[in-house]
Amino acid sequence: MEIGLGLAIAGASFAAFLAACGSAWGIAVAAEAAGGVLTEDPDKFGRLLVMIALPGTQGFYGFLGAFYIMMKINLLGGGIPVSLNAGLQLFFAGLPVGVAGLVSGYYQGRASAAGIFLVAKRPEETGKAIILPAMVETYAVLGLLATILLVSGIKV
Amino acid sequence: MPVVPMQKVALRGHRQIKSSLLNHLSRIGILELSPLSIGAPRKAEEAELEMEQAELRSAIEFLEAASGRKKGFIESFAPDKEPVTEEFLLQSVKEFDWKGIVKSVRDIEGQLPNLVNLEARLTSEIDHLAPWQELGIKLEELNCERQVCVFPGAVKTKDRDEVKHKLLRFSSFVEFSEVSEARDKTYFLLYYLSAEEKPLTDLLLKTQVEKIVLPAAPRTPAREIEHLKKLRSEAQNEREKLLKEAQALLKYLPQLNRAYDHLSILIQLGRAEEKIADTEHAFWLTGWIPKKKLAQLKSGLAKLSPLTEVQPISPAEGETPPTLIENPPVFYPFEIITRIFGLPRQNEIDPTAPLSFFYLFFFALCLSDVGYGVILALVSYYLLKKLTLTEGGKKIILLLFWGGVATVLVGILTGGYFGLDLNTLPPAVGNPLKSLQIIDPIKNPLNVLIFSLACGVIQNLFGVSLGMYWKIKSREYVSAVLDYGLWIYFLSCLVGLLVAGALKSPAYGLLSWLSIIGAVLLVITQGRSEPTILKKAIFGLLSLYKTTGYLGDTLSYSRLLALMMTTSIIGMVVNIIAMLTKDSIPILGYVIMLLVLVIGHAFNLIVSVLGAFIHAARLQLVEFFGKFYEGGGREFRPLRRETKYILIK
Repeated sequence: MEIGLGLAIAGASFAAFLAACGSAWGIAVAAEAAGGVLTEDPDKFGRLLVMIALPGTQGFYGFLGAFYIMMKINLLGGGIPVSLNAGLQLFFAGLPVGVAGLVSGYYQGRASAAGIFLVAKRPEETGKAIILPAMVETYAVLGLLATILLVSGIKV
Repeated sequence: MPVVPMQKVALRGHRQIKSSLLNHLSRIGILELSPLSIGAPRKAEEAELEMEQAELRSAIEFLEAASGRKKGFIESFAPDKEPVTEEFLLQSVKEFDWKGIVKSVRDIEGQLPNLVNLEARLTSEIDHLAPWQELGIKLEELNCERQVCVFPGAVKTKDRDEVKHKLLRFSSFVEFSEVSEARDKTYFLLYYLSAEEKPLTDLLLKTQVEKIVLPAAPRTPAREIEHLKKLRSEAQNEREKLLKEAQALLKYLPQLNRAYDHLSILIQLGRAEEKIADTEHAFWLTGWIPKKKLAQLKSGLAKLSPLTEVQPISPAEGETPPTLIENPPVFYPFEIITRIFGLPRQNEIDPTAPLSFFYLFFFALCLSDVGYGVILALVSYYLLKKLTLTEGGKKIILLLFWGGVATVLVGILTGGYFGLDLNTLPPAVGNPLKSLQIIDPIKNPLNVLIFSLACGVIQNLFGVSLGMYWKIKSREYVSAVLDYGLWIYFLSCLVGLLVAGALKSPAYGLLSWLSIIGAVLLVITQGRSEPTILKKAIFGLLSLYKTTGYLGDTLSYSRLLALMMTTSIIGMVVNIIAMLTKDSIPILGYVIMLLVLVIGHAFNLIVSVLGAFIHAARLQLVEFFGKFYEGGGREFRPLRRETKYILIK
């Protein structure tokens, strides 16, 4: 019983912290680029803030995945007994959003940085610059979807 | 839906009226001048105007920085512009000595860096002298001029004893006197006979002693520091005085802004003049104008002077008209989505109206919370009323307003109210709301997923249909039927097959035959433009691979479910955390709870709106446009008065 619960919690924590690391990494990459641009033109702060925030969604997706697992085992309401099998299942179900969030967060940060340089030179093209990193985010969304569907399919 | 048809025109007139005509054209803003190879050369005055404008800009930027006012988040997207009339603008520029103000600003700007440098230099000199503060000897006496040399030096405190020992052993005429100790260094004076300088210097080189060069001032170090501090505070006062002067000039900022835009207009008119050819008495220009505005141009010119003439001409070979898109007010804000991708070419469809409904619906699905929708709509309505916006800014905020309204409607159906669980509400409120709810995305993610994918199927098929419609309109019937019609048929069969399979319907067998027929037809027709039979067959077969592209496009709509859940679950989590804080501390707990609720929901709202805006746009640009739209049109840029700080009424 205890191990099952531990595994489920491990799944939730992997989902949350891997994706959060990805976001932190991606935001740092984008913020470094933005810092350089801001030395030249501080007025672009508002536009660049949006670009910096874009790789931040992975962290939320990871948190969401973790929360979904917590709801499944009613952790906040005292917890229900989780069998070893179910715990293992929940652990693996947590991985898609975590790992996809980690990797896509970093790469979305790089795409954001590229968009930030685009905005630096052609501020009128902010729309296009915002769409580029959103291409990367698709796969974090798919990871989240996989986690949600897996978790909702598991019988505890 | 088609783009606005354009007409190329030639305009002739007497040279007398050239400048008044240009003024008139820039005011009505409906004619785009085409560059001429025989246009007038650039004038010297124009370079001068540009110089003056650059000076004005640097003065404005300096004053803006001196004011210390930060631009707001919204302002950086949609700067607020001052509305003025033309007469007021001319009056204001004429009566105001902006050149004088620019000169005073430049003077201040020129002196500031010197003062800042001076202050930095004095500070570093003071720091340099600080360890010697206790020394009672005048600085100019630390030299080698008499028989005894005085050598100021520093050594790491940990090496001090060793060095001292070495030096004292060297000669009995050496004296080592410690002055102070600071930051793991010991500062000292070394006295020795000048006759022994050479060997002592050699010895010093082998130790870790660092020679300190002090200014040869006729004062003790403490006095010298005092002196330098006085100089520094003088420099500081001077700098503050200059900054105050700059502050006093701040009140002229609006006038400077107006002068700046006045010059911009003059420069734009000067550039337009380069696109006009002159003869001795007449001038001649060509340009593009929306066909329906031709009459307006003609009547306007007739009123201006009888000495002009406008004539429609046909464009040169290979010359493409610029693109202008025009939409009724309902669709107008959605033009920004089209613009992100690029404007249509002259012979293409304007996708703004077709995408608008889908965009709004998807935006609302992603947000799907009544509370957030209401806040978004109210905030954007407020901004719309309060700010004087440029066209782009107005479009974005209008879009957000409609997005908020749509979100309220969708939110009622999904039962989203600030992430609250409807079961926990009092039954009098909760029950009617629950009866309006048709689906709960958190309890039934699978149903919402299927719904999202269905949205994808519908929009993809709609996109292909639009492509077909446009081919028919441009009379390319073969392509319409084979490249679009056939795919619509084949994809519908596949969707039918999936549905029938899931429902175990008896139509499954029939649909699978219909699908096979579709596939065969595609294999036969899709390679038709290839030269050899073999290539035709191969390309025909490969075309079936496009099906996976359609499949991928459809799956991409699953993001609607993910974003919908992100909004509602994060809202829920905010509520849960707020409830936990409520009971943590008596009374104060309620305050914290309120803070958590306000900040948490505001944060979720911003993140979710950003996500909804971007992902709803992406579905249009990538999945929807991919079916029928290429873009790449050049924007229609009529001669008009483009300004940075003011809006001319």
